[in-house]
Amino acid sequence: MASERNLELLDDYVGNRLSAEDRLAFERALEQDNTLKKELDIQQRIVDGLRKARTTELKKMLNNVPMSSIPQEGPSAVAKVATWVVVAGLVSTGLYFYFRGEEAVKNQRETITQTESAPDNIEAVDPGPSAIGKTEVPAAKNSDEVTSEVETAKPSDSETSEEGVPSSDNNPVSPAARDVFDPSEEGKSVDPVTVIEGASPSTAAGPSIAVKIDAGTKFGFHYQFKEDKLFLYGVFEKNLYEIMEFFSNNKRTMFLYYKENYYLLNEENDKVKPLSPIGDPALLKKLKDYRSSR
Amino acid sequence: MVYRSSSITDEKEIFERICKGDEKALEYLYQKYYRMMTKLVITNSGTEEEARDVYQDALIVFWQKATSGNLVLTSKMSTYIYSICQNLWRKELDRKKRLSNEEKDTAVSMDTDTVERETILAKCIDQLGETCKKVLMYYYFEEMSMQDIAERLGFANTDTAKTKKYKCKKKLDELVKAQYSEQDFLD
Repeated sequence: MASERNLELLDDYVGNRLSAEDRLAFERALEQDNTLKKELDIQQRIVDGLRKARTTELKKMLNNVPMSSIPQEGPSAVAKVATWVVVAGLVSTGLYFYFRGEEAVKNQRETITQTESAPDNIEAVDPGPSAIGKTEVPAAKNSDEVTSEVETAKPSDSETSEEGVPSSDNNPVSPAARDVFDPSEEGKSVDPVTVIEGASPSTAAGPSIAVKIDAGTKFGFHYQFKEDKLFLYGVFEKNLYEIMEFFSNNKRTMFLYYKENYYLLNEENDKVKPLSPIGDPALLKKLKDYRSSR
Repeated sequence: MVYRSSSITDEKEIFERICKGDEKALEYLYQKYYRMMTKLVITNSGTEEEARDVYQDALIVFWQKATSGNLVLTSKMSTYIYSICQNLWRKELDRKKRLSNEEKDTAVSMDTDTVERETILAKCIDQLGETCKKVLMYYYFEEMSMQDIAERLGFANTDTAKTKKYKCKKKLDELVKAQYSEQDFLD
């Protein structure tokens, strides 16, 4: 029978809590104690079982992460092909108009420039087909950009993110490449409840506005739209927060999600406004539905 | 109409949360790099499912190292996780290659034994209460300190956490040993 002390050491050993020195000493003791060796085998298996169970639990949790916001491989490939087909068509049309006269060239140039950016965005997500064979890994800056570009690629065709002005339906990029936008919803009003009525939950993307956190201000839990930025005043660092944007009729409606509450962000002027949780059950339900379906 | 949503947070903050065992931060990271990491496998003869598996495994390795305090990041998280994905996928490709050269029956039979043993353990673990499970998993998998376990599970102090861990482990040992004789368990 192994001593209590040895069993304690054994537990620390299988729990990776012994220093290198103590580890060696314990392994030497093991050599001379068959009972302890057998006990170690059992304990190792039990702890391995616990680790395996925890891994399974974490994997289950990851599998439950809403996947609608993650671009899938299949549609992405289709989107790629569709985009290239559209680009090829537009380039041909552009060339046709180019030879027809300068007026046509002027109009078309803009269209071509817009559409050419689509395949670039898609290509940017590719870490490289030979990545396995290389020792280098992507620069983190790139990876951040990559993710952000993938996420923004879909909806960005229907708005100009830098200017925050959504464009109209005549965008030349194929709908297949976007898969985000229901034109039938274009005519709806910008009332918060109505705005999100027809929004597609599968269109996650980066924010179209820069967000700055100011924790050291006298304003506690306020916000302000200033110089094309959204300022959040208060201590937001401790929890994840989320900006939700809905576009309708060339107008953007924004909400803040923070600690299980939703807040309407009114862009009307650049005054500092308090953040008041939304109480309207209908609007809350819609917002929750969109968040959970992402 | 377009709906867009984005979580805004910086790399350092996310890493700190992961070190503290914040599972929401892990979910956020999973979503953030999903496409980039799975692309690595898919463009190297892997299926979507294999890619997801590799990415999840890599993320869990990262999580385990971070929560146990054994990780000092000298690069971006994405770079680190990407390199884990590369290593795991290389190993998987090697394993597949080896398997195709070996007697498949032997391998299957060995796997069955392992699976059976793992099932036994999983059943015993399932018989523990939720708190017991958490204490033991945090202790042996996340390798959290007793202080962190106490804080995370709302125990009064580290001594309470220590006692709880001791009792839970004892219970699990008894469950395992009661169901199977030592010989059964050790083959």
